[in-house]
Amino acid sequence: MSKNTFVFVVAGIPGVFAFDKDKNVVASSAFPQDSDEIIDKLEAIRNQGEGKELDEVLEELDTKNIVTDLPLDAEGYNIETKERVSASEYLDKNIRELSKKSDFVDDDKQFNNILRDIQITRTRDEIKSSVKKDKVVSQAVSALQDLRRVSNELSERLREWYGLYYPELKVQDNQKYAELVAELDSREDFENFSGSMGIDLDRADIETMKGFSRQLEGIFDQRENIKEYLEDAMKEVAPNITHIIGAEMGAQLISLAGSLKKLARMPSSKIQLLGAEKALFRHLKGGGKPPKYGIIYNHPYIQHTPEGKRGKAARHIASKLMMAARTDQYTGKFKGKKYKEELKEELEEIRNE
Amino acid sequence: MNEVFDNIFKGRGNFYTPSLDPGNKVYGEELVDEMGSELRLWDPNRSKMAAALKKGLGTVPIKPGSKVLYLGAAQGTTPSHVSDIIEEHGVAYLVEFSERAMRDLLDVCERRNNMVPILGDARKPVDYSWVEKVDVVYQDVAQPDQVRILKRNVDEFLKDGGWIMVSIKARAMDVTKEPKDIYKEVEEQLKDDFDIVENLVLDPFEDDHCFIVAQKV
Repeated sequence: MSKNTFVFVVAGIPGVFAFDKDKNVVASSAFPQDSDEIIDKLEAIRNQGEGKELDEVLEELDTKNIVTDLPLDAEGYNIETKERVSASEYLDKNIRELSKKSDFVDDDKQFNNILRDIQITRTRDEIKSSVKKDKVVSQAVSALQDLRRVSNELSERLREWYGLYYPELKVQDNQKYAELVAELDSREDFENFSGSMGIDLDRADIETMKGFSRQLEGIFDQRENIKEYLEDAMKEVAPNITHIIGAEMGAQLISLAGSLKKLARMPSSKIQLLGAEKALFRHLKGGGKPPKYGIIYNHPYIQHTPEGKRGKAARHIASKLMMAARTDQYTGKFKGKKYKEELKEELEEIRNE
Repeated sequence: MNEVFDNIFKGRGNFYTPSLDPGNKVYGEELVDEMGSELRLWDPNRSKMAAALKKGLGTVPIKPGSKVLYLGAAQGTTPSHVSDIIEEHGVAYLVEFSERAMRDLLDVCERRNNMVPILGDARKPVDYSWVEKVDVVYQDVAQPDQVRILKRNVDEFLKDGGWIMVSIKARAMDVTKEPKDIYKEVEEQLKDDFDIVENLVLDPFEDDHCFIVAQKV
């Protein structure tokens, strides 16, 4: 059969269409006006080449020569399959007019409505499948930082408050301090109590402080819980990063980057400065020295390096973290041990230079 | 209350659009009754287009029935007013990259049948190449390469003689330069392909922002 009697068979939101080579519609079959059904039908047609509307269009044709981008397999037809045919593009660009002409919809309002419903469903599916555990870890590490800040503030408050009553209580650790206040009924109950220059207080005054301390204890407990959780979760999400720099700082890096994927796409110079954005912009605006490090500054690796060499150390750490992030994101293999040993050697050399 | 542009009302210095979804607020905006129909206050501190209107914007190419490609739809504050203006026979294609913002945007789209959400990157128009030709491309993306992003989308989707409405955030383009130099640079980059009709500075509503309206030549 000669090639000049072929038709394009393509599918889109309004249904299945057959076009001649001048892009005139020679056959069409509209989908029902239901977004979920349309999504299902389109998927079946595009992936399996199966569907009632497709059969109907084929029946209407007066040629057996078909050019299509659908995985069509029909007996008795001469089918040429391509990655994408021009008629699909034509359908996309004229979808509103073709929808109205093919009796898929009556007017623009109806068309908008269906298109909107389809896009809402598709978008929800996309969001669902792309929210990964790195987002959960980011939130958890932020919660941990919030709790740390809050527990410090409340501890300071408790020390001021209880200090009116028992200023001689010298306990360095905030958590221990809160525990003691919550537990003991009066300053006379403390070990080594030998008088106080604090003011005398009623039962009610002391009970109120004790209640406050109990809440504070709960916050300290929660801090521990989340810390433990992070250790486990980070081993799953980013084992290589975690091995090099620890769960909490690793999670902070992911959180600052936005996601593991974004972190994995960053150059090491950017990883080095994550958390130092304020200083960086100050520098770019022309005031101040360029920052050498972001949050990785707080890591013992840097803290154990003499001051003049910290910038260089930060560069090495960031470059290893970049490799670790890419390994975590793209391969899922564990090379953390090797990375960490290499990094240790590099840092040792820097210190001894 | 006066209708100063199609479906844009002005009263006591504030701008309003007639709600397509009466009884519901999108972002906590005030609702007022005007001769039996409900108008939504368009907050210039929340929407750059409202700020531009406050600053004397004289050209609004978005009209009833318009097809709009909106890049950087965020939580849907400005798009909801665009949705009011274009009415139900118009359509706004809303491109947003952030999943967090998209979740809020979807709630707005659920209630308005002319708002079509697209989770995607405005740098890659090929990801949403199924979108039809539009009358207006609106851009609010605050990216250093936003002019390039705009041009790509214009080439792909804007009709001949169509319009662009663009919000430029100077600090997102280059923190080291003076905002007014950046505005000029942007004009320079656009003027071969567009007739620039408006270029308004948005202070005090937005610091270091300008708002450009231009027609494709």
